[in-house]
Amino acid sequence: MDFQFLEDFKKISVKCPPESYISKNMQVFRWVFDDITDERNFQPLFYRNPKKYLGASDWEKCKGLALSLFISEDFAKNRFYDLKDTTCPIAYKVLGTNVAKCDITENDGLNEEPNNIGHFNHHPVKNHDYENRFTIISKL
Amino acid sequence: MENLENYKIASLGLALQRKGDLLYHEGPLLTHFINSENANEHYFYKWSDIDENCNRWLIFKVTIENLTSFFEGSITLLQLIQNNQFVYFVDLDTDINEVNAFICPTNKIPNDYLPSGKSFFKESQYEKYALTLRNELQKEAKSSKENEIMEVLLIQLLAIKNKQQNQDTLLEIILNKLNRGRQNDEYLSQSILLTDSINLSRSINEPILN
Repeated sequence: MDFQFLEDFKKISVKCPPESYISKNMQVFRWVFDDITDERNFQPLFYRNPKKYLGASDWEKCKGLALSLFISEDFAKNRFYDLKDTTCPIAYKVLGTNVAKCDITENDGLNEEPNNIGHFNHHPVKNHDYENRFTIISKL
Repeated sequence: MENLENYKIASLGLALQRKGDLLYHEGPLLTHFINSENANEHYFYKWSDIDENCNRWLIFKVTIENLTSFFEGSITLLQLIQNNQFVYFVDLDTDINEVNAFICPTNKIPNDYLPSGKSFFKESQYEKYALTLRNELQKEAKSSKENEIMEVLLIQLLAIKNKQQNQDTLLEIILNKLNRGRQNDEYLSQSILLTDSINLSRSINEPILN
């Protein structure tokens, strides 16, 4: 696959995306800021702020190149409110302010197996056009 | 960001070594550090705020006892923070340069920077590193408990040994006394026998006056 961050994958020594990741057609949910075209919405943190990863393992860097998605709106909201409880009430400033949904296809990238809180990492391909495909469905 | 100017310091002045992320969502939100010069000194960095230039982190010390209580679910992350008299804040820019550092009394931390009263440890919400740290602490606590038990047993055994030694000493004293008594008795008996013999001899050799 022609991944969006292929050049960054080449700079790390672990297999990224990991072998276990699979492509799939599914409905996914993600936290986004009010303006869907906000550049933070679909840029992984490592890409936006690589120096934050100084001292991090290559596996952590790989994880930092993935987008966080959820398998349902409820899972997305529960995780948001849990993180808000655990960090601080203004967590939305870094996490996002809305839940958006999208139907992704097996051509959009590779996905981790969702965990028990409905979260999984997604390594997108180039030109995914998520800004136009994700729709805000509820406020956080 | 909240105004912390009153608590500004020249620099953080802590040499810390990153150990792992406890909470993570497309980046660390709560990270464990140790003092580079003293591995028994633990610190948490909790993400607290952001502006165009910096991320603000709340840095607080955690004791092993409090951390164990947190992982056991007896106290919240909020209480872990509030168990300190003061905490640090640091503003880091995108190049991880320290732009501002603050030392703030715990009761003056802005509410917007604090976790809620429901911030109990939830295994499902935390990273694998948190579980590893919890297991290490449990192992250390178990081993330290075993050591404590061994110490108590050793003290008790030493006490028994001392008591035994005291009893042996007492027994020796009694036996010595008894022996000395017996020797005195023998001496006395021998003296009486000797006196009797002398008397007898005298009575034989002396002329009978009557």
